[in-house]
Amino acid sequence: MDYQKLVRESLKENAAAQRQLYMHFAPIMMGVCYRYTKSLEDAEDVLQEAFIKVFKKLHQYKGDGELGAWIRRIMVTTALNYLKRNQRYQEELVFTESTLHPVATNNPDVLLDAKDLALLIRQLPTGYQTIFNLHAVEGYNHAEIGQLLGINEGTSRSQYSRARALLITWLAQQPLETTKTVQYVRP
Amino acid sequence: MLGPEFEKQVQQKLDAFQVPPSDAVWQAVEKEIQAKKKRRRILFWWPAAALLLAGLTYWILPGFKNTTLQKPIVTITKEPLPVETKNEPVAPADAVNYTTPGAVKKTAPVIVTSPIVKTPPLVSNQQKETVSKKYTLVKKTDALLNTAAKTTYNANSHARPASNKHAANKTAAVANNLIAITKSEEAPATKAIANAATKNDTSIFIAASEPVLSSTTSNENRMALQQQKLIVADTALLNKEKKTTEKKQQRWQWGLQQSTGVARLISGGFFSVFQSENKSFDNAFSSGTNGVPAVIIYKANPVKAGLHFAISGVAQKKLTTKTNIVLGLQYQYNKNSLLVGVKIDTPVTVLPGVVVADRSQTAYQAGSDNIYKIRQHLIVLPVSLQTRISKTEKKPVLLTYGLQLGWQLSNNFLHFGNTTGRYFTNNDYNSQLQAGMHTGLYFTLYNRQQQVIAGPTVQYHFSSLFNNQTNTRRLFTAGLTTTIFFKK
Repeated sequence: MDYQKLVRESLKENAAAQRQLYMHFAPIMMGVCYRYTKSLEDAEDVLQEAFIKVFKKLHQYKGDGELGAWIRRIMVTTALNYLKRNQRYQEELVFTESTLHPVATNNPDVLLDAKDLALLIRQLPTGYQTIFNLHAVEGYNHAEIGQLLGINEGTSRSQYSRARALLITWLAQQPLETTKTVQYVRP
Repeated sequence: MLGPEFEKQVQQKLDAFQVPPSDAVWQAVEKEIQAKKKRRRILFWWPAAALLLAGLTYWILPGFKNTTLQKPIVTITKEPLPVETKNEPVAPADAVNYTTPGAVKKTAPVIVTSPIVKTPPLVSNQQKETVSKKYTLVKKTDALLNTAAKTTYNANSHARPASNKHAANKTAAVANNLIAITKSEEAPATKAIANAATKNDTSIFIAASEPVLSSTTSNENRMALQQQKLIVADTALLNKEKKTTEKKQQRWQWGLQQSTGVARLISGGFFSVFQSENKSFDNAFSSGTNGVPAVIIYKANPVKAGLHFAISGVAQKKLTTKTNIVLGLQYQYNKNSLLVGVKIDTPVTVLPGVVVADRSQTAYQAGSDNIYKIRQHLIVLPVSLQTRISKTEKKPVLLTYGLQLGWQLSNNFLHFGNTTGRYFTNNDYNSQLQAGMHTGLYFTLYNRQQQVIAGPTVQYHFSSLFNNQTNTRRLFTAGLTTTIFFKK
């Protein structure tokens, strides 16, 4: 797909091009939003808000990087702002006491498929979930995460270690209890 | 030891992870981007619509249309003609001769001919003398003295088709000016005209004048009547000219205005205009335990005053002898500056719960390493009244004052997070609709076919430039404004 042309046409407010752009990136970006939120409705809210921002700011995309990465960055920042705005998440975003979860040092194989792995990540406390997503999946370093979330680099590092440990513990307990994930599946 | 293997596996699996969103998401996105498109269209057409409206107003409202003078349809000969001796034809009856009787034989009269009026009868020298006497008598009335000055140029106006409009003017003129003539001469035709005029009845005047001429009058009376008709027509033309001048004064005058000066983005109300911005760079510390501060409250650097530039199309119209109304469509550009620290390229928290991460926003650290330029673009619709405060009308001094409504097109102002000490842009904070007032004093530099006025002006916006509660900056400008009005 010629992304440059798609962007050019979208900037000319060609409705077909805008729809094509959305259709092309929406599923994968929905996957990103899904990992940061706790429900499908919230994920769709984030996706909607982020795509509006994408079309609004599309003229700022200079074509010097991959379009998908640019859109993904908007998805991530929109999701973070959404979590901070939202009272439900705000309460959970208080970073968990370090004594609750021991640090795991092993590197187990991840045998789950993407969907189950995403479901497992969503079951982490919001603070852990956010830092795990930012570091393990998006590839931000802890200094950047510290700036993004307004926390110390050290806090980000320790929170990540515990999120990782919790996830590894859950992975070792496979198969997952289905009751935990039912609430996140679209009716 | 922690290794990257786990992270790699997670990343590989989740990179391709997809969840199809529901159709409702696209519908909502599409609705929003279409609404944005409509808003932009409105914004684009707004100035054009304003101009169109101004144009329509110009053409539709009474008194705005051009009034044109009908051109004379006769030729005026001013060359000296041979002196008459005897039995030579004198000038036609409707000709104008302002010379005294004694001077008739010495100087040639100015002869005005009309293609419409029938050839007048010839008269003898004696008759000519009588006509001259009669004419001298006519000249002596005050109304005619006024008329005489205009008559040479407009002498043939009586020959124009007697439209109702002209006739109305003629009738009015007759009522005022002819009574003196009728008293002195008692000519039947004159009486008829005067009666008609007194009654202000145009049809009677037009109908009555010709039969009286043909049936009852002598050559003398005929000549007198012709002269009276001429006077009536000239008075009408004079009235018409007066009206045209009045209408001209009521017409809209178009022009261009340019203003250059200083712009300030003041925080607080109107009286902050007279205060300098806080230049303290000391950060405040909220109280904490054991003398250790809990939270640092940072202070932003002051915003420096900068360039103000405005250009506008203006239209003015006379309301009273001393006051004009001026409407305009103005583009305004204001530039201010601010000292900031280094630019932050990575995503960063600028306010509690607000992250600046994408390219649409810019963030800076607190500091004084760089100069950040704040640029503001506005479209403004000012409505002003201009009152002449000087006695002279030739080069008047005008006091201008008025209100304005504007639309902030863009503003890259840097907002400040006082808990994070970071500056950041956010276009969503911009408040588009702006209301303000302005005043100034203009001195007339040139006042002929064009008018050039210039002087100091100030404007103040009541509306805050931003819609967030914590930042209530308002625009204040002061500068020198020059206006050129084309063709009076």
